[in-house]
Formats: sequence, C-alpha cells, structure tokens
Amino acid sequence: MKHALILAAHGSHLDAHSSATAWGLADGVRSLGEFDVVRAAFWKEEPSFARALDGLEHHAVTVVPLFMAPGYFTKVVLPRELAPAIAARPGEAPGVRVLGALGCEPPLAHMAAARAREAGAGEATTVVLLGHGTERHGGAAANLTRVAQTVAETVCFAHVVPAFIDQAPDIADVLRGLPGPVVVVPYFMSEGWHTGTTVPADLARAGISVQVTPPVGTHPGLAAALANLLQNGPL
Amino acid sequence: MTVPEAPLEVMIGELRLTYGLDTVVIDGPPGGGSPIELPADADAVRQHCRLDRLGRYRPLSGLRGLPGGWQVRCVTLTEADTVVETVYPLALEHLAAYGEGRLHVAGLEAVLARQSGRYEVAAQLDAAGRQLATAVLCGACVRAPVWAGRLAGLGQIPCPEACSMLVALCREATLWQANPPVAAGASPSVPLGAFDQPGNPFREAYLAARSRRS
Repeated sequence: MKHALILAAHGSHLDAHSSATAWGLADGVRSLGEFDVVRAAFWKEEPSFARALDGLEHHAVTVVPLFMAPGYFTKVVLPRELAPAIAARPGEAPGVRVLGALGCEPPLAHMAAARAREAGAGEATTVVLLGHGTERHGGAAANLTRVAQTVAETVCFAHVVPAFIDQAPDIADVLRGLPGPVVVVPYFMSEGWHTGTTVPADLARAGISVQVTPPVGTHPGLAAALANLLQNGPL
Repeated sequence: MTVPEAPLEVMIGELRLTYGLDTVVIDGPPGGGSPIELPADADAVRQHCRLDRLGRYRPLSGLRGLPGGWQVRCVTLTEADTVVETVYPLALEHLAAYGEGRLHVAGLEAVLARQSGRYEVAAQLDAAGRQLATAVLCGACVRAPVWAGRLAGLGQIPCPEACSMLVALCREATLWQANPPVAAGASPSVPLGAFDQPGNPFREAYLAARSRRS
C-alpha cells in the first residue's frame, strides 16, 4: 500500500513567508523517502485543504495539522474542508487519519525555552509566550497555558506567562504590567503577517519596546517534533 | 508525462516546457535578455515565483504575471513534474483527472455554503456579485474554472473548485453590497490579497464593474 503525508497549514493571502515552515518540512520529509507522496496544504494558499486528497485515492493518508494548538482550524475548518474529499473516496480506499496539532507536541515547549535563551533570557527574565488565540475555541489558550507551565517548570526564568493577539490576556496589557527584562517568544508556526506586521505595529501603537524572538515554529527542532508525532500518533 | 520522440513544446499556464532527448527545459514568461537558470529544486523555484514582476507577493499561484526571464533545465521527468507542481500546485493531477473525466468539481455555491467564521457572510453575496467576483479574479488566473462550467483548453489547467482568494473576495463584496465604496485606481503598493484596502486591483475592478452594472 502507498502512503501519503499531508502537512496542513494556515498559509496567507498577505505574507509570502507564512507557508515557508510547511514547505520546508514537506521538502525535508520528502527527501527521506518514507512516504510515497508528501504535500503541504493550506487554508489560504494552494493546494487547499479541500483538494489536498486529490489523486490519493489509493494511498493511506496521514494529515498533520501544522497549527500551534487544537482549536478552530484543527477542529472546525480542517475536518470540514477535508470531509467532501473523504466522502468521495472509493469504498475500498485506504483510510485517512488526521493527527493532533503539531503545536501540542512536548518538544515545542523546549523549543520555546530555547528561543528565549537564544535571546539572552535568564533567571531575572520574564518570558511571554505569545499565541494567536481566538474566542471561538478554548483550545489555543489551554495549550499555551500548558506550554507556559512546562517551560516554567523546566527552565529557570523569573516568570513564564501566556498572552494573545485575539483574546485575553492581550499582549499589550500583559507587557504593560511586567517589571524587569522581558522576552516575547511568538508561539507561532512561521514568520508571517502577525509576527512580521501586526504584532510589531500593535506594540508600537502601545508605545512598547520589547525583545521579540523568531517564532517557535522556525526552530530547527520542528522536524524532530514532526517525526515524533508521526511515530507516536494514533493509527 | 511521456517523453516525445522529437523536441516538443508544451505550454502549461505561463510555463513553456521544451522536451528534448535528454532534458526538459522549463521557461517562465519572456523577461528580456538571456534567462537566468534556476536549479531544478522546488525551493529555488518557489522563492523565485512567490513575487510578481512588481515585487508583490502572489497569493494565488495561477495569477498571470509570473516573473519572467528564468528557466530550469531538468534531466528527469520527475524534476520537470516537480517544477510544474511547484509553480502550479496539483496542476498535473488536475490535468490528468480532467482528461480522464474523473475530476471532482465543487461549485461556488457549495464552497460558500460551508464557510464559517469571518467567511460565513460570503454566502450572502447575490448572484450578480458572485458572477462578477468570479469574472474579476478567475479572469486574472491561468486556471480555467471548470467548476463554473468553463472548458479547459489546450495547456489550460482546470480549476475544480473556487479558491480561498475567491471566497475572500466574495466576503468583501458581500460587505460592500449595502454601502458600495467608490471605485478608485489600482495601486501597485497594495497587496494583491488585501481586498479590503483601496487600490487593490481586484477590489477596484469589482467595484468599477458593479458600479457600471447598476
């Protein structure tokens, strides 16, 4: 039986860099030769989630959501967009399994800590983990809070706190109340519209100057986290 | 893809594929002067084709206006397939499925009906608006919207389903229905995917056409 891997990411209509993590991971996994087909698929780029299964009727398909938390995209959008293609598969077609969000994998917390340390964070530093968040689903907040707890328990920073763009606690509000050195670690999958444009603009508007690291998803450890998920994900 | 007996040129979208005995040369649109040679590597081709001739991000792979003046020399058919699929994702699969009569298509109505969140409102766009949005966006794309009943001609990549860009344009057009903004001129500094910003070429084309119709 042939096997296909689909890396399902958000993508962007506005930023050329948003899909770089997905393409890089796909190219990397493809070069290993463990899957007959490796594709990236996107909500806002091509190929779309809805067409990601095209031509894979004879493949067992594994879908990995390249999202930082279980939430609106992994629980609502991705299943909905895949559903017509799954329903149209022939009766004898191999299965399609959708794994959990990559951002829930344990190595991601270590990668977040590594991003902070790379920026010089130490015992006196407060590390702010910045997530997108949404009021539509509680998964994002729950996961980022769990990651913050893990980082706080395993690495010696003064504090580790979550903050968000699209839900409370808002990043600007969190930063205004923090004393001492602060490092912001974007808990995002890639560089893109938010990390490159909206977050810097929001912070500038609020008159806040703070050190912001590259996003967690651009850490070189992401490929190992994906390998871990593929090895241990449910069959 | 099969190797022809003699050199043969095939167009796929804006790409020209020249099949020789040992190589497949893939050229982007003419760019004046000798084309620069890119490696037969997905990332190199992707990076080169992400921006248009004005340096703007191309959020829709099929948008006309690929940067010109480049070519890739492929020594295997797999390399050639990779380059085509990098520039136009799923193009070869959709060409094959269309040719064999097995391409599943989904119309705009079905695509809009299943939207949620910020795109849920797009289903409220009236029929004239849907038709206009399709004409404006798909008219700028090399893919043939077979989901809208169009036929894909020779070298035209069939498009089986409205893309996320069209859904986004339908969303904005729905918001404009009650109080249409006045059309302005297109500005090259506005991102191609920013339909909410005055100066976006698709926004302005839609608003101008809608204004003429009413």
